[in-house]
Amino acid sequence: MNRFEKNMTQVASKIRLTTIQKHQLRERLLSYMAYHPLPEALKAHPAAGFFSYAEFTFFIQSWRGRTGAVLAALVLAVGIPAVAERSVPGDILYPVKVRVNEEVLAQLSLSPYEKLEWETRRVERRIAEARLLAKEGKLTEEVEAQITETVKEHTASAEKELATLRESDADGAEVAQVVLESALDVQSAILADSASSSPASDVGGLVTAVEDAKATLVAGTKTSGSISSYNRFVTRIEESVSHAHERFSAVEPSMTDVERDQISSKLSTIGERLNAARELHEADTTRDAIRHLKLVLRDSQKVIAFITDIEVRQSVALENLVPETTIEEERIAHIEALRGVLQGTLASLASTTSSTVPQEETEATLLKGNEYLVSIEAALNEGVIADAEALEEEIRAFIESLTPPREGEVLGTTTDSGVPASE
Amino acid sequence: MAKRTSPADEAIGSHEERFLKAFDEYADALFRHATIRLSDRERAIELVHDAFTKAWGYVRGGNEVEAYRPFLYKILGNLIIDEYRRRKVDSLDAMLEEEGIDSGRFKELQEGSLDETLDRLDALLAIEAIQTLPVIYRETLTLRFVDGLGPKEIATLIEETENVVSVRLNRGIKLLKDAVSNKK
Repeated sequence: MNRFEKNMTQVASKIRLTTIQKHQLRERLLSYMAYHPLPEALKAHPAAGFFSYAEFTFFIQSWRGRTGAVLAALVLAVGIPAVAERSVPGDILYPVKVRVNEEVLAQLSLSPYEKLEWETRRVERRIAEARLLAKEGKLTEEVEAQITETVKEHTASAEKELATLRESDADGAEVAQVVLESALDVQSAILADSASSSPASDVGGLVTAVEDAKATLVAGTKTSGSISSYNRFVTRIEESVSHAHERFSAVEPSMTDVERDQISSKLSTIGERLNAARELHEADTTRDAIRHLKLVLRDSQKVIAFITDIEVRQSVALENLVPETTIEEERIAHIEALRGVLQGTLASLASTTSSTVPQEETEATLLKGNEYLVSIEAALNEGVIADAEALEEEIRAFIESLTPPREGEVLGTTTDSGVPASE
Repeated sequence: MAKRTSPADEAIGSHEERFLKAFDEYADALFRHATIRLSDRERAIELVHDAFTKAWGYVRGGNEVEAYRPFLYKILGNLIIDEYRRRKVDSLDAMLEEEGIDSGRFKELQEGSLDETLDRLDALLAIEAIQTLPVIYRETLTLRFVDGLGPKEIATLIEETENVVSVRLNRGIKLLKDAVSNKK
């Protein structure tokens, strides 16, 4: 029996979690532990006096932990990078901030997920710089154009990382896309406030750059119905909500009663919607559950931004940032956004002429596109959103098939890289 | 639960540290066990996750876990049975309630011939074949030959007598042998 047992052990040992799977599973558990902490009486005395073991391990293992360690090393090593962090376009140390500090942190981002998060963060930093300059009346056309260009670079990098992530981890990409969309929504809202409060400073270019990035993301949206995707969303949401509660506890004393009540109400709604999604999943309607979870994650990310960023709190009302909508309303908004993208794509196709594609083929494509539009309109008018949602994947595949531009087309469209064909 | 505390456990302080150490030590083994019994890697990952979250819930309730390994195997075993029920495996309940087996009926599987049978089995084919066996035998065979538990430990885990475990092992090995022969 010993030889057989040895052989079995040897063969069976090949059945194991991959490194990534084990890491992801551990991360999920850490999130779960943070979301379901031990009662006070059971907690060990934390070694550092600030974090529990789970929180400490989570912090160290997260990219933020690694980033923080590198930033600390930089501060200790040379003071300049630290001072440079406060700089804005036009300052002497601004290139250090962008080309040294940020590039070092970009290199430390190992996974596409981390790279994506960092590029999103860079977009936020650029917009914060633009707003600061706008407030001081220093946002010239030239500086605004420069910042807009870098915002486009960062959003393009983020989209590229998202595309990479889709190939290796489709579920992770779905989650990451929602997080990126939420971040861009927050930045849109902040820019809208800037535009209204500082009319002299034109942030129109930045607004367009952010809106274009959002539209590109919407065009690439897919909703999986897989259990693993569902679990990834739940894990991320639990992590987000746990983080939101922690930050809320920390800053609550400095908030007004109104802010406190609004945030409590939003967090409560998020919790209810999370439970609703769980019920949908248990009823074997996982795709619907994931749609709910996307909305929940988006809202929780925005609430976190509201809680943690005083600039966001000062710029945007929570009600505007996270409007009180029903799931139904948000599903309708999602389909309307899809309709907008389809209309834009068909308009672009109709306005181009091709030397290689027969006119009949173009007309057939336009006809098909218009049929989709009719279906969407019918679904919206009759209030049967599920009919439109059932066509969503097909419509997205259709839109995707219409980009990049076909060979020999007249200028006015972009290549795969997003660079105008004339470049 | 058997009172076995590893030296590693004794050295570790907080509940969180012990829990995470248990994950680091046993996640792979639990995953392996679940994969073989369910023939589904993705579900196996989810069940391992659920086993650990249930264990954490137990700890949060103020309960002490003396030894994580058998505790986690117990939880995982129950989750696997739930999974079978969810998949509506035929006669599962009948199989699980099978009792009073007389080991004397299996004279052909006395120890000596058992060794000979097993020695002739190809381990790789055996691992594959386990996944095709009725669920009740998958459990005991996997615990014995994949997880390396002895009959006494298996009996404690699945809450049966050692006699029942031995008989299931014997029957399981016979079925395994037939299944492997069919694969060749």
